[in-house]
Amino acid sequence: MNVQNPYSLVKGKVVKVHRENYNTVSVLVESDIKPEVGQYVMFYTFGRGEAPITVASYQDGMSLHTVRIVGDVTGYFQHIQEEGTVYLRGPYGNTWGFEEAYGRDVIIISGGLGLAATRWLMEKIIQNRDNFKVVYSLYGSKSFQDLLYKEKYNIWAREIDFRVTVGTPDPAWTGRVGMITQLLEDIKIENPSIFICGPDPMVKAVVDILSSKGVNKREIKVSLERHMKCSVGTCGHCMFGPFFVCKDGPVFRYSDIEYFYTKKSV
Amino acid sequence: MFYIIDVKGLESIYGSLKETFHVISPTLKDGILLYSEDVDFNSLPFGYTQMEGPSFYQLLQSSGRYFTYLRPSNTLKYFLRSPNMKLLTVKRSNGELSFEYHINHRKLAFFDVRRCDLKALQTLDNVYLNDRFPDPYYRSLRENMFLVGVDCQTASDVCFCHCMGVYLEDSYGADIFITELDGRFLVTALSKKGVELVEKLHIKKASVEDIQKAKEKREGLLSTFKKYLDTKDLKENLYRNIEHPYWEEIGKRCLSCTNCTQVCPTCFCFDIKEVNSIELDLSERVVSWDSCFNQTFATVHKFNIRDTITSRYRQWLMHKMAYWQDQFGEFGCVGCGRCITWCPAKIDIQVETAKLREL
Ligand SMILES: Cc1cc2nc3c(=O)[nH]c(=O)nc-3n(C[C@H](O)[C@H](O)[C@H](O)COP(=O)(O)OP(=O)(O)OC[C@H]3O[C@@H](n4cnc5c(N)ncnc54)[C@H](O)[C@@H]3O)c2cc1C
Ligand code: SF4
Ligand code: SF4
Ligand code: FES
Repeated sequence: MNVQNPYSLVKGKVVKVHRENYNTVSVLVESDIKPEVGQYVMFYTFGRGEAPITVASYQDGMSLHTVRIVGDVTGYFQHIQEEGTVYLRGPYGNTWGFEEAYGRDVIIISGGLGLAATRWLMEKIIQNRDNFKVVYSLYGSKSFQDLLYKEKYNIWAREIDFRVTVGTPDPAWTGRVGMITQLLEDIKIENPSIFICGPDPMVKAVVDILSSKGVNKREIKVSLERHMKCSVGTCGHCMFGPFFVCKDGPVFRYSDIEYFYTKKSV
Repeated sequence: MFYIIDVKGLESIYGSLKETFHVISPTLKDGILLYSEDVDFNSLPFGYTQMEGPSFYQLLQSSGRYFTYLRPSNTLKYFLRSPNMKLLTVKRSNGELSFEYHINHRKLAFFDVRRCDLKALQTLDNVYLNDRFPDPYYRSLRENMFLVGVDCQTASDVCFCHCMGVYLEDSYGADIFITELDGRFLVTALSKKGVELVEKLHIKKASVEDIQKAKEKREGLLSTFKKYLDTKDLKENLYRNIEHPYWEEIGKRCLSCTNCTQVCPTCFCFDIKEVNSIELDLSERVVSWDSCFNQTFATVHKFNIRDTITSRYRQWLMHKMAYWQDQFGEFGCVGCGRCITWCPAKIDIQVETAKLREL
C-alpha cells in the first residue's frame, strides 16, 4: 500500500452483516483503518465508484457501517456476504470533539440515518459516563419501518436518557409518535452541549427551538452531509460557503456556519 | 543572476530545455494562442498581439518585437491535471481486486509563463499540496517542473492581474525570467535549476544599465491596464450581499455553459468517473474536469442544493472572490481575464464583482 496516495484503497473483511430494515444494512468490517468518533470512510465498489459512509462504531480494528441502499454504490451492500471482501479508504473528516462536553449536560439529536453518525458518539459517552451530567439522546425516525439499531435501545437507556419518536403511527409501535422537535419540548435544557445529525430541514428546526430556549449556538455541533467525490479537499463537490465539508467537517460548530447554512442554495 | 542574450540565446535556452524536459509553449492553433507540447522554436508566436474583450478575440501581427502577445487561452492546469486523468486501474479476478496507481513522473518545462499564470500555479499548489492530503499525482509533476517566466509588455482589455495580488516584483517560483529589451532579452536566473541551465550556455552577464532598463520596461506595463477592481474588504462586501436580488439578474444572462471554469487557471473542481471494460474485469477511475456550473454538481440524494443558474453563478464568483480567502488566505482569481474573453454571454467577472461589492 502506498500510504502517500490518498486514493489508495485498503482491503476489509466483512465480519458480520445485519439487516436493519427494508433498505438498510449494517456491516462490521475488519481493516487497517483507524477512525475516530465522527469520521467517515469512502467505500469503493468495482465499476460503480465510491460513497462516503460514516463510522457508526469502532473497536479493535473492526468498524461498523450502516448503509442505506439508495443507488449504485450503496446498492452493492444489498447482497453483501459475511466473509466477503470490501475496499475502502480513509478515515476522513474531523471528529465530534465530545471532550468539550465534560462536566456538562449533553443532548444528542439524530434524525433518520443521522443515528449512524451519532451512535459511536453515544457509545463513547456511555463508556465515559461519569464525565457527563444528564445525557439525553433524542432520535426521530420517519416510521417504525425505518428504525435503526432497535436491539440497542434498552441497553443505551440504562445509561442515558434515550428517547425515540416515529413520524407515523404503527400498530407495532407502542412508543412516541410525532416530530423530533416535540421530544425537545419535554426535556430540561440548562447550558447543555449539543450534537446533531440529520437532514438539513430537521437541523434548522431543532436549532430554532434550542436557541429560543436560550442555547448559545456555539454549544451546538452538527454533522453535515454534502456531495463528495475525493474527500481530501480537492474536487470541490462538498463545498458549502467557504467550507469543504469533507475536510473542515463533517462536524461544524453551528455558530461558525450559521450565516451560510441559513441562506438558500449556498 | 542577470544575463543578456539575443534571439539566438533565446533559441539556445529553448533547445537546452528540450534536452531534459517535455517543453510546453504557446503556439498558434485554430486561430488562437494555445499552450502545446513540442512546439518548434520557429513556431512560437513571436510578434503577435492579442485583442481580447468580452466574448471577443483577435490576433494581430505586430511590430518586430517578440513577446508582444499575452497568456495563451488554455492554462497550465491542462498539463498538470488533464481533462481526463487516469487515477487508478482496478483489475478484478476471482472476486479479488488489484490496483495500479498512475502517478506521472514526466518532466515538464513551460516556456513563457506570464505572471498571472505563475501566481495561479501557486494558487493551485495551495489546493493540491498544502494540506493534510497532498496529492501525489500533482506533486510528482510539479516537483519535476521547470518554469520560464516572461514579462508582459501591454495588458489587454480583459486583464486585471494588478488588482488580484499579482505583483511585478514577484517571480512566483519561476526558474528563470525573461524581459524583452530592444532586440535583446534580460534573463534573470532565480532558482538553482535556473542558474545551472543558463550557466551551461556561457552567455553574457547583464550590465547595470540593462537591469535598470528592464525594470523600467516592466513597470511600463502598469500604465496599460484598463480594468480596475477595488479588493479592499471585498470578501466582507460580497458576504454582506450574498442574498442581493442582483445575483438573479446575472443568473438570467448566464448560460451555465462552464466555459469560464474551463479556461480559468485556478478552477480545480473534478469528478471521478468509472470507465469499465465490457468483460467487467477492468475498471479505470478517471479524474475528469467538472464545474460548479454543472447542474448536478452539488446534488445530495436527488436534492439539488444549487438548483438554479443564479445559485451556481453565485457559487462561482463567491468562491473566486470571497470563499477562497477564507480557505487559502488569497483570491481564487488572478485577474487573467480569460473567463471574460470566453464567456458567450459577455459576463465580465471584474464588472460584476465591482457592482456586487457596491450594492
Ligand atoms: C460524510 C458523509 C457520511 C455519510 N454516511 C452515510 C452512512 O453512514 N450511511 C449511508 O447510508 N449513507 C451515508 N452517506 C450518504 C451516502 O454517501 C450516499 O447515499 C451515497 O453516496 C449514495 O451513493 P450511491 O452511488 O449509492 O447513489 P447514486 O444515487 O447511484 O449516486 C449518487 C451520486 O452522487 C454521489 N454522492 C456523493 N456524495 C453523496 C451524498 N452525500 N449523497 C448522495 N450522493 C452522493 C455518488 O458518488 C454518486 O456519484 C453519507 C454521506 C456523507 C457526505
Ligand atoms: S476568474 Fe477569470 S479572470 Fe480570474 S483567474 Fe479565473 S479566468 Fe482569470
Ligand atoms: S459566466 Fe459565462 S462562461 Fe461562465 S457559465 Fe455563465 S455563460 Fe458560461
Ligand atoms: S469531497 Fe472533494 S473537496 Fe470535499
